[in-house]
Amino acid sequence: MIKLLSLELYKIFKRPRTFISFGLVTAIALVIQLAMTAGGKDFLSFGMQGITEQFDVNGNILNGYLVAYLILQSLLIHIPLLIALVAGDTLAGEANMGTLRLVLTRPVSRSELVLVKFMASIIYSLLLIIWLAAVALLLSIVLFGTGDMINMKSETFILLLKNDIPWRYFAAFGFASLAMSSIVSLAMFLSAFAENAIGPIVATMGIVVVLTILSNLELPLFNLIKPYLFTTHMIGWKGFFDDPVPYAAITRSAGVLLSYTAGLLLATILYFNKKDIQS
Amino acid sequence: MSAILEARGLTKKFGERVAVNDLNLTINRGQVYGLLGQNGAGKSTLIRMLLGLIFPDQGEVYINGSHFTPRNRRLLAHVGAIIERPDLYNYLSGWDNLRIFAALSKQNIPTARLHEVLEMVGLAGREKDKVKTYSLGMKQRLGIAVALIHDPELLILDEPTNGLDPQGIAEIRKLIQMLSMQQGKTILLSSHLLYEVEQMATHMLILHKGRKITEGAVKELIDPDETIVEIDMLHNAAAPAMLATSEWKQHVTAATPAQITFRVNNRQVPAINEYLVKNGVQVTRIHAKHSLENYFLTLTND
Repeated sequence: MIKLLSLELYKIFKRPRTFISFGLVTAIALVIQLAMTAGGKDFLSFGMQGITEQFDVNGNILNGYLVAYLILQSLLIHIPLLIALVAGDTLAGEANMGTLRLVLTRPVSRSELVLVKFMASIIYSLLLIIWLAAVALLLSIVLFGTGDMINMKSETFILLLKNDIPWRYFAAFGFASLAMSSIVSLAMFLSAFAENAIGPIVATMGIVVVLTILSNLELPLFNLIKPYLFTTHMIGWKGFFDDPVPYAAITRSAGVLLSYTAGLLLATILYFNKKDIQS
Repeated sequence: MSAILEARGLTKKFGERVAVNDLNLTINRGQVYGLLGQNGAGKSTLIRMLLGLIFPDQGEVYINGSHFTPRNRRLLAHVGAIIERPDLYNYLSGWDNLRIFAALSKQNIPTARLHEVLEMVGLAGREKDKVKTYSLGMKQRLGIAVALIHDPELLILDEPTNGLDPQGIAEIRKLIQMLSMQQGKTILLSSHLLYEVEQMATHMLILHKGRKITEGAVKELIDPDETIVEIDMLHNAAAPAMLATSEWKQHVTAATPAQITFRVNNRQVPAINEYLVKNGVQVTRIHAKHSLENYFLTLTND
């Protein structure tokens, strides 16, 4: 299993398209960092108008923690699309290349093959999130330093002390990894049905976009289904920047995401074990 | 002789279309078994069922005497296969491809074996190049190397010469003969070309519309003593009538003023020619075909 997994990762990281994601994450982070370097102070004073009228704000407000938070807010919603690029390709891409039929003439079981590909995609997602942490958080700290962080919400703001922040990021990235595993499962599930990688990649992106819109619409009809949509729970990482941290809600979200991951993985294995390989 | 591969009553339907219908076959050790049929006859579906890629609606497959089921995939360790096109990981090197398929074989395959199969298929020295730079013939040979990596007893080669140039075809043919004669491999080979099966196989099965038409030793199926002879001539309206009353009348299977077809023994062809020339028929061409070829062409023309 370990040998197969390492070869699966080798296959993934030998393809140039794999690095598109890493490039895009870097580019977006750099653009935001550049914009904050140039006009971050004005942006902050505009955003904090309501606060500065009533409070006296001192210190390095435009710091790495805040910039990283802004990057994550704009970027984490797009990471699923990048993960779909690789996970959606796992089975359908091999079917399209014609290698799937050759792979399946070997004494490896179909379930094992799905599991190996799932784990390889999970490792890819983790690496992408670690990379995101490096460029969004570490680079921002290098560029803007550290300081207390003001988390501005629609009606309130939360002041997080400098020393109270690093663990929150650690937890948020951990939660994001869990959220991404449900995307891996979804993309692989769709990939099992297809014989061309474009379909499952686009379908995964489409589902994520549509469900994200549903999760954000404040309409009574959608409020009923929202708790069951994985996209509602994918933004659970933000909870770690609240005070107090809503652990019950975060645990519930993690449970929903884990259920999606396990359910879709199981469905993929069951379907793939019965599938006639005609590619 | 013991059976290495056996199919019993294999049937597969796709919707209303029956791709393979109640098919039985037995391949014994040491045979080069040709599976002959026109495109769409069901060869690939049959091969995919033998390899567990497609699940039969009915029937069973036995590898080395054991029932081959999804729970029993370790039996595939006895088999190496290439199916249709030699599709491999084009963006990786030949060596990487071999490494990947060696790992998928679930056996401890030493590096020396990788070098050995590369040598065997004539790709030594090119293994570090990406597969996308290979010619089709080289890809096909790499496909065979991949199929051989775990030293299986049985090789299943689906249309191995399809799309190759004459040199590529000759190379693959030579390789298959070497694998059979020197390495002692049992080979199942599918083709839509009779002469290919005739040249390489010891046994064959003709598949048509999913059904077995005939099966047996190639030597027995292709009877050298029975030949279909087509004789072309300059227009001669009297010739058909003349032959109808001649000593050759029972051998004539078709006659027009431009062409007469006989079913005769090879040795009788000169005598027929002499008879025709003596009787004023101006022969322009004599074309002899195996009776099986004729049979096969009749099938493929319907």
